Amino acid sequence: MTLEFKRILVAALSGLFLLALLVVAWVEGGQQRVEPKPRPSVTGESKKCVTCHEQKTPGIVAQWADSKHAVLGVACYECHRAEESDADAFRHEGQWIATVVTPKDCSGCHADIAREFWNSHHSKAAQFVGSLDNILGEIVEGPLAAANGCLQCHGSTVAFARGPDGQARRDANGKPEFDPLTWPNTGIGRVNMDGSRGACSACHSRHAFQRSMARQPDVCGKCHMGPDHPQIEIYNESKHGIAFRTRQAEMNLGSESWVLGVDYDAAPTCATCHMSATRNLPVTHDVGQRISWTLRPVVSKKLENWEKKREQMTDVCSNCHSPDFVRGFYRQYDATVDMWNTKFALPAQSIMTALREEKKITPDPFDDDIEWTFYRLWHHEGRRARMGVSMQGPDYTQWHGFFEVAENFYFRFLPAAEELGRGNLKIQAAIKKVLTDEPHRWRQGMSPEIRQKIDQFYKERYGS
Amino acid sequence: MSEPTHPQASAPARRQEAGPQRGRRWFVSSLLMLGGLTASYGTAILMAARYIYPRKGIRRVRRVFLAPISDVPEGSSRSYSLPGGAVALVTNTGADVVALSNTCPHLGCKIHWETSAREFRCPCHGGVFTPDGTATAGPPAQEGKNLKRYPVTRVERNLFIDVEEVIQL
Amino acid sequence: MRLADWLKERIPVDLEALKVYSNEPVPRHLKHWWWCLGGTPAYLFLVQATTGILLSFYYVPDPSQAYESVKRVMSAVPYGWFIRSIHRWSSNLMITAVILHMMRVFFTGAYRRPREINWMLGVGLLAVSLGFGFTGYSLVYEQLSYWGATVAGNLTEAVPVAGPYLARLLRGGEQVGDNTLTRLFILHIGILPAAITALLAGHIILIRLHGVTEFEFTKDRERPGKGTFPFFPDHFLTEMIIGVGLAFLLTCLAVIFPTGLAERADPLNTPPHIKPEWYFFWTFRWLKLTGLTFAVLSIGAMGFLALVWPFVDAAIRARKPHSEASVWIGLAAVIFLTGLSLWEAIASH
Repeated sequence: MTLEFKRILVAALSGLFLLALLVVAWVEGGQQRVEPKPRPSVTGESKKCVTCHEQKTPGIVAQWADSKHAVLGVACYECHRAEESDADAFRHEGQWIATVVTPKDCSGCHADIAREFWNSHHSKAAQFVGSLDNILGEIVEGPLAAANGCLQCHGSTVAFARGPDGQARRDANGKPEFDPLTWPNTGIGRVNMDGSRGACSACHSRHAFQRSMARQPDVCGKCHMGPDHPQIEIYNESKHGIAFRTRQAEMNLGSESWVLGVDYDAAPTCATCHMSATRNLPVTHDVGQRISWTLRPVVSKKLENWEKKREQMTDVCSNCHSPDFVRGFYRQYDATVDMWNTKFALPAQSIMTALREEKKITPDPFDDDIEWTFYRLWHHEGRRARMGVSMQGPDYTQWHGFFEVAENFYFRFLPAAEELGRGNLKIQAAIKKVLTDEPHRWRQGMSPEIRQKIDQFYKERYGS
Repeated sequence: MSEPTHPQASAPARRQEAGPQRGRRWFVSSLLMLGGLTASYGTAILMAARYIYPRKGIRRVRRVFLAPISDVPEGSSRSYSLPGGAVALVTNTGADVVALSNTCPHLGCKIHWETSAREFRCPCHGGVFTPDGTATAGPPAQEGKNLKRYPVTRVERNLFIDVEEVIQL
Repeated sequence: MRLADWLKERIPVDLEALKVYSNEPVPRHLKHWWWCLGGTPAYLFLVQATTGILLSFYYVPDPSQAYESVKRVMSAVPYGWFIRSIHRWSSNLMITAVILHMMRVFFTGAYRRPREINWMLGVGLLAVSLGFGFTGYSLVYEQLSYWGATVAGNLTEAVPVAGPYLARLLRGGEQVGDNTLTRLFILHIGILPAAITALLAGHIILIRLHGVTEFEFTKDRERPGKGTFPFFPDHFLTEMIIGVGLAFLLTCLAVIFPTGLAERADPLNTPPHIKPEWYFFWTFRWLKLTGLTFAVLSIGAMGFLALVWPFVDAAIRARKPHSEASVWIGLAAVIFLTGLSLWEAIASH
């Protein structure tokens, strides 16, 4: 190998090396530089809070650090600060603070939302003192059942524990003690000491306050579930729920803007229909704004301004369903609720009224067996039936609903009423009236044609 | 057996490169070699230089919580520390709530609020500013330099301020 | 000329003598490519020093920041991924080249008298290179880094007598902790570079003084004077070819197989399968086969034997002249080490 050849070889290899470096430069050029996320900002008084609470309650600080509040510099003191004159203010590390952050505090920035919420039924959730449910909880079951059962969803009235002198009990630092029957509590209608009603953290769990948390169905399902209002179960049974579970990854739950048909379209959640924005509707925290029926009472009623409300809900449905579809659904829905009202609710109510008037049951609620039977009929089974049809959960409409309604009505409620009404003409007349009505005519006996149909069906299907 | 240590470097001269031919071929091959080496290693050195040289920081504007409006009553001024270390003097002029930099535009001293006189003063050379940051006396007034203003946004009962931050790397 | 004179007065180097000394005659025959196996690790060390210094611009030797600083280099620094990949690949190639060079030297008997000390310097260079490898990948603070350092500490403890003291010295404490990373860092950028420079200087000076070994039969076949060619420019150009070739190879490797970043070190969570770097596979497998104390002692013995082999070989040849026992023993050693390494490489546990 001559020297000249060696030099040429070095030159050639240098050329290859250079080419390789150019590839490196090309790869480098294609590198995506990710702009680092803004760090949490905390200045002033909150800095002191974070320094200590990072050690004392690291989870709280870590969750907050992930939130949008942190990026905007809304930290501990900005929400927990209190005026000396506030009922629940206490001195902590040189500042006046309060433990409970109320919608009034949040309205410092989120005033519109607080206003909408204030007008909604959610904010009135704790205003059911005197209702049957309330009596059932507080008296029949016991205050602890109410405090840890009912009120954890509905909301307590926050109060201090009082000493024998009637003053609020305080610890060595002057921090007041809450009455344990009233706090901790994040019920949605919680009555706060500053007069506001509600707990934003019920849906927007603290301290991360994630939008995605409030948009997905489980957060509503914490309270909107169970034998008397199984909304989450109905939703999960429905096609809406199935679609959500299947395509949850495409739901874009964390996005800032969450407009149906624009930012997502895979499936509706509770928030989609009852609160969130569509192309035509703004987001609302008044959860009743799009609801036309109230399915709560014994006899269901259309709400005030129901046509306007139905129009809004229809707007949401129309993103995925044709006008005929939506209209047809509402016809089904209205007719079913009407059937409940006329076939079961009104008749049963009239019988109960008669029983009460004839003093066959005491004026006190829940001390007669038939009162429980009637309660189950409308408060549990009847509600399930109505809510099942409202949110397209057929099993709840039928087997958890009208089937149990029918069984209860015909074989528990009516027999009990008959027993109680023995010898009383008024009651017997009321019962008779019910049974002779068209929908109940079958109790007189079904026609031979029907019995033949049944025989034929089973013969064909199963052989005998 | 011991091997020979150090035979003299008496290699014969390169016969191929003797004479006038040596000049041209040697020149071309040497040039190519040097050129190749310079180009390739030079590029590598440039890449290393780029690697070391700090990148231009990303400048972005960030909106952060400043204070509840009720904290700054009319006619008063309060100082707030901002992310990034700067300090804003938040003054309620009556007509408006403004956030001003506490750095004097003259030579960078820190100014302070005179409560009784309701004006800002710079201790270094006697600069004076009105509550809204306009220079009225001293070197800043002579140079026509007012206090730098931060954009302030009002959200319901609270104030938010726009701060510029430089993200390094 | 005035500048040259001015310099010569102040830096009184005898240029003529220097020319003679540096222009080493290299024996002919195909061997001039073999001899580059020595220059290769030297070149790669220069690459390591350069890329290493560059990386140290951004690396932070603190357990809470080390991993993140490496991540930043990979994702946020221009060409950071490239420099790091070169550094990683070059370390593997350098150790490979050192091992191959040692094998060449061993199997050509070039360690024999009067080059015994040079051989020992070479063994030292191998040890330092392995030390570089170990300390280097410990600095990344991946799971492997942390647990590898833990294992190394435990192994050191098992050294008889001095073990516990050495282990504490290495770790900077009873356990791998904050001090450990700093010490490994200082080893990697300070102590080991100083050691390798000293050893390398000694190694190269001795080679120059002794001259490159020639095979016995060459001496007979070729007449003196015609049997060599000058180091400069001939062999130097060969080395250049190798050098630029390596630069090209490293760049290709860095682009096609860029280094990644594994899971961050978790002191509370030992991964189910830890494996050291490939050049420690054989020790790992040996450890699993024989148990802690025996492994430490036997590896120590093997290392010592390797160090003093020239004298062992001389003793053998004193009793049995022209014995090629070394070759056979060397072959056995190669098979042993390769076999254990392959076993460890293939085995999942």
